[in-house]
Amino acid sequence: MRLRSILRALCLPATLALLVCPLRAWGQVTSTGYINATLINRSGIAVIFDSNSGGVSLGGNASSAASLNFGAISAFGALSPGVTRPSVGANSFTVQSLFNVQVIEGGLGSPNYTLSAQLATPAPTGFTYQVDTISLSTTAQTIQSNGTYNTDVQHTLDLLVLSAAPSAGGPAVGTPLTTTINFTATSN
Amino acid sequence: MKKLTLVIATAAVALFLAGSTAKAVSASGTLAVTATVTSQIYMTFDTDASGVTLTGSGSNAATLPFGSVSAFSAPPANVTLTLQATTFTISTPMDVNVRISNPAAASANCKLTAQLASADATNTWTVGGVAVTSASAATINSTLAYQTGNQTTGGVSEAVAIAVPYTEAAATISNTINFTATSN
Repeated sequence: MRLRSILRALCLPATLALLVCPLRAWGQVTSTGYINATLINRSGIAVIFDSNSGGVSLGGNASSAASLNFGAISAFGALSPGVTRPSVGANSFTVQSLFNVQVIEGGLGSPNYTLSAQLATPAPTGFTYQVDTISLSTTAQTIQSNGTYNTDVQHTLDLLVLSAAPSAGGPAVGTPLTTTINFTATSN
Repeated sequence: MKKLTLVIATAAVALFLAGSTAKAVSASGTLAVTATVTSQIYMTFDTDASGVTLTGSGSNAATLPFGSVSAFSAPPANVTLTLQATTFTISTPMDVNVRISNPAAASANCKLTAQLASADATNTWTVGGVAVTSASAATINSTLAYQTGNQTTGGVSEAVAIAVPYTEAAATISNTINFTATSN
């Protein structure tokens, strides 16, 4: 008896549904589906270089593979925009440009980062590279130990140039000399 | 025994979590730096300690104002007046400062020449005792020593002199001396 009443209760709506469905099908066709989207939110950091308003405009600005061209440099005379010459000594001179490093952080919970730099290859003869007055070599040097994430941090790139002739230990003259500096940011 | 197992398990989980949060993450970027060194020889004129104050001292376009001079009155400060038979000469030292950077070939010194920009048929101009005309460049010093660094004082003292005939009417005498330094 109880089973019969349950079946009756189920059958009535089912009958109604069957009657209604063909009516709706005349008016519109509906199809449904679903996409199961999955996002893996991975934590991490990234390094990008940004031009500084007081420095040389970077090639590849706002990327992690930028370039900085001092242009034609000499101990005397005009320099390219953004390049300064803070010192001229008896045997050398220095040209300088500002640039920004931004380390973007997400999901780490790290308070700050350590920035290190090293030359990809030994410096050309007669050249010495400094970032924030720290001389670079092919061994990583710590530039900053408490960098702030997600904001441009200004750094100074100095290029110390011997003013001697190439035959006397000075750099090659009249030829663009390029050296790559590898920067690494490590979360603290 | 169960208690001990629970403690060990909790400690293991704690150690695992601690290790995972302390793990440093790093990222890198590259900055390619380019520069082209150019050879440069640079000349400036500087006021000599015993000379007339140059206007534009420390630059390569200076002015030497002798002021008002006469054969028969005291010369201005730091101007030497000498009288000859038919002319009087005014003279003052100035410093020529030549610096060199990144020469293509090593250079120990340079040759300094001078030439008047305009002909002067009346007065005789000399630099370092060498007559200077507009006709051609005169060698003032064939082995002028280079100065070093970014100094704007010092340099090699060279006397600039003008011999003026007594017969010349009072007037302003003005000319430009073009100097050229060539690395040896």
